[in-house]
Amino acid sequence: MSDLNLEIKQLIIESLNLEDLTPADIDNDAPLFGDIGLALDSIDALELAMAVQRRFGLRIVDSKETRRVMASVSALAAYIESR
Amino acid sequence: MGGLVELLAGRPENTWAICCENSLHFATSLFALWLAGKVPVFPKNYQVGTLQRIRESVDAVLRDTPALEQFPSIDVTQVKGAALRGAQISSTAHAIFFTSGSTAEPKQVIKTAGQIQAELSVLDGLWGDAIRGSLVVSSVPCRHFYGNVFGLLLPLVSGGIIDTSLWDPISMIRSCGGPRRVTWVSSPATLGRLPDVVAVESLKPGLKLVFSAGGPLPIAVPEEFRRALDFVPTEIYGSTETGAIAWRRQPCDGLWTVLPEVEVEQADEGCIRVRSPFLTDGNWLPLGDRIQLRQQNRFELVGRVDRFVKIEERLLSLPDMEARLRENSWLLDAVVTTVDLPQPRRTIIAAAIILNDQGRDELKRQGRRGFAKSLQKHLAQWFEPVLLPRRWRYPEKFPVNELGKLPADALQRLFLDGAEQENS
Repeated sequence: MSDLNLEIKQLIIESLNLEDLTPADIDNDAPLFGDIGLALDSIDALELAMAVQRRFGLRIVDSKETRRVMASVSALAAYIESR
Repeated sequence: MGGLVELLAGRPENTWAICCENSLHFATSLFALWLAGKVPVFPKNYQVGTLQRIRESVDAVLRDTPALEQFPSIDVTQVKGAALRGAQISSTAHAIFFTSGSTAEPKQVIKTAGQIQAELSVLDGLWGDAIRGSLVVSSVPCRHFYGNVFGLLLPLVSGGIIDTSLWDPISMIRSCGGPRRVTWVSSPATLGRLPDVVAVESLKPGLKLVFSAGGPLPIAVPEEFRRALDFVPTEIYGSTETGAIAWRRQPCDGLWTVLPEVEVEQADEGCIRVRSPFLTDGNWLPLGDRIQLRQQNRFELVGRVDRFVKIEERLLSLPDMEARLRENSWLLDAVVTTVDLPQPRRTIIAAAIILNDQGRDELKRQGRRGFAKSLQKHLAQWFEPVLLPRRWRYPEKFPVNELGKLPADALQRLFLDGAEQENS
């Protein structure tokens, strides 16, 4: 597990205050939103976008972009690395 | 729309649930159903379990969402056809809505086109001039009565320009960058988070009018609007059954002003009761909110009397969710409550479960995470994702007091004390 992936997983768990969950439970490529995978909801999406902004200083402005960028842990890591 | 009217007129089904995310599709479906002499049904959400619960009221589905195999349906995006000429909606046209009743079953509300028209003309009298010519952007789905009236029908009546695609907070912010005046139809969940996402000043000069309904707006929001934009959101108080009842603009004394043609009284246990031409019959309708009448036509909202809670504007009946949980073969009993998380600031649903032997074995086998996901999946048949419990506790017994009652603070402690202790 890369350090960035791990950091993102910890950020997800902490910023969304998720219980019964460790970074090892989150698959790098599993969808974060929707019915499978972590199944986060639209309010989580906003909270997570804000947490990413605070931690990495990256603003995800466009909502379509948000959905693509935060599709999975790997997608988010790729986005952060590209900036 | 003509093609859809013709298609519908030739179909045997009478009641049609509208499952459309796009508001243009929604409007087309609504009017085509009325013009074809059919009855539109507004489901609370598009989850298959929700539709199955109202099965008796739904013959078929008009949709721009994926098909549900249990219901015959028409994909409205695939229907082509001629424009309409000289079409008229019958005076008996009506629609069926659903609200969370005080029992576990959803309660059916029938509204005539005339009642909806009566409400629209009052709203148009108050806000029509401000809406006319503005771009109307809504974050509230059309299947909600408030979203339908304010986001769709009122702009049609008043001459607003409806944006059918923008609806999430970030897109709503971007809508204010154009040359047009902008009207938002929104809710506290969206507006409350706005200052975290954007500098409110940047919404100037486009944003001119903001509606909010679904719950009281925290005072910080109107204060921020006043500071940054020189106006404050207009809050609407109402319900599916009654339509809009009253409005207010904070900061003020917090009182709500009753709409023209609406009468409000303080009835049993201080609960509000309402009479208006927007209502099904001329009788007084009592609601579950307690009020204090302050002056004629002005009142203060005190709180709800029953075990309904609002999470992000969705009304949830706690007894309803408990009943659904008890249907699961792993558990003996369930108590559902709300818990206020300090970080992130949000109210979540939490469930305390008494397991049977089979349930305890499953919990051991699947682990806490897997077991909670199984129960969430069970509930997702009827409830939207934001309403699903996020904290789960499996105590041996509920922390009841000597009177056999479960004190609210003992229940809260169960959830705030962390998950590990109970396993010891």
